[in-house]
Amino acid sequence: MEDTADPKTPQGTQEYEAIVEFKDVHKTFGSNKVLRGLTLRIPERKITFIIGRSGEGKSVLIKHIVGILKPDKGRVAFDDDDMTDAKPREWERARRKIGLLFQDGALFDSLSVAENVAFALMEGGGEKEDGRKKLSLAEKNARVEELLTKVGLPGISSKFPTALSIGEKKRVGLARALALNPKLLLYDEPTTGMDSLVSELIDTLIAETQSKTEGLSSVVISHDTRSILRVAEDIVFLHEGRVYLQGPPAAFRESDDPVIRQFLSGSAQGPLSRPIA
Amino acid sequence: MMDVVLQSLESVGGSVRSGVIGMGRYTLLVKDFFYWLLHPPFRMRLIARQLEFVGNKSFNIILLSSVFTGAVLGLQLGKIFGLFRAEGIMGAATGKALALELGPVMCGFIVTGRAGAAMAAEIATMRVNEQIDAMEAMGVDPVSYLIVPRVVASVIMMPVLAGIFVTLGILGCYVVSQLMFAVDNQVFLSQLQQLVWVSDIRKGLFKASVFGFILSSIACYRGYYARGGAKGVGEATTKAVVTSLLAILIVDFFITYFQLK
Repeated sequence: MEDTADPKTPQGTQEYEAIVEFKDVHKTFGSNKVLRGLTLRIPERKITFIIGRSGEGKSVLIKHIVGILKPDKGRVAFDDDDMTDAKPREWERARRKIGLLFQDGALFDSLSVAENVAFALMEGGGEKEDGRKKLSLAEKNARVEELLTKVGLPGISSKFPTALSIGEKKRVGLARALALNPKLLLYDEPTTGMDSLVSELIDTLIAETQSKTEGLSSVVISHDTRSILRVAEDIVFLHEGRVYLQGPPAAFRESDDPVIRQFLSGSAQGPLSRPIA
Repeated sequence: MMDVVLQSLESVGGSVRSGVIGMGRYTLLVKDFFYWLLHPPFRMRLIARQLEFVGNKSFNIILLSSVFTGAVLGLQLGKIFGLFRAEGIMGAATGKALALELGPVMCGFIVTGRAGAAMAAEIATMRVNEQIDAMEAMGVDPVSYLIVPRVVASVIMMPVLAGIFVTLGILGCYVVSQLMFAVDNQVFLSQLQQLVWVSDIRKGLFKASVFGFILSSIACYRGYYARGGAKGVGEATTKAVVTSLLAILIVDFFITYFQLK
């Protein structure tokens, strides 16, 4: 894919290796144009926050990365492979390198915590070279406990999701997302609906997971400005279906742009108060 | 006036469009079902679980409804045949009706109401809670994991349940023939043997299998494409039941037509 710098992307940000690239991506649902020529490079081995108002297409963007949605127009690449027209088998291989933490954890209610965490290890089909089917019960149990310990929830493997708090569900979701040692970890609004204590815990978890996992890249969808400025290494601001600004937290803190200022201050008055066209 | 005409046309056009889109989606889902039916992974554990859910858990309701359906059919037919002093063939007539039509159709209705509705609601809940997206994101195909086991189990269990329904229905009719019409034992059984053929049973079981495919694939389709929270789950479940019942009746007509040709 060619590099195409967005007009407001700070100088120099195009020079790093990208784990994900979007080029002129358009996506429309009915009459709602969500992505309108989005061009974006997500840096490798960093925590990148995707921010913007509700309805700007942040979750749509994540679903394009894992291939749940396909662009109407434009190209999407992951780990140097163009995935726009990828076949199901190619997506299956790519998804083994991606972990996704959904807004509410999206745990399977009919399965125990252990079965949820082990789901991708045991149920993923396809080629045998990935070794998932060859895990013995003891190995699977050990891996589950290791992952649950990593997210601070040891000893809950026999519980069912209905018995967990929302914070615990998210952490179990994170353990599940980490099960296949992903290269890219996606978080869809991990702190939404959390009190400040749990939010901070989740932020710490994101930072710790990133630092403890070699070669990991993280992408976090968020509205939470405290989280953004606390954890982000790179920030992408989406506005009107495109990248409005991309850069490190300092670029946002120092920005005089009224759109950025209004988003960070959370004020009801300003250019962002207009409804999304 | 023109506005009303345009609005009506728009409404009809919209319904036709959504119907065509629905048929297209259903066809694609069925195509995916056959793909995953023939390609690994083959999830035998999940199929076994669904066999238990569709078959074993439907047994009690099939037992009760079949005995009473056979009994009430025996009552009606016994009354009519009594006018011609031909009560002896009430068992055979009931058996024929149960084997060819009532067994598979009633089973189809009962399994739709019990298992089909549950399948639609479960898959719809998974859809609106993003669990199906999560499955896809982990590289597990939802058609392979959720739909293939349910449809396979329904196709296998429906003939078994229909067979049980027919047998117990005849038993219900037999009890009525003995208690209320004093039909001779030997006459009841010989007429039954003479008039209910093996081909009737075979045709009925084939229908049951087709109905199993219809009800489970429609239930899974409605659940899979559910949208919009709890309301969407409710709508998907209702539509699954209504569409399945109608489809069973329509397909029953065509199968019967070709079987009689």
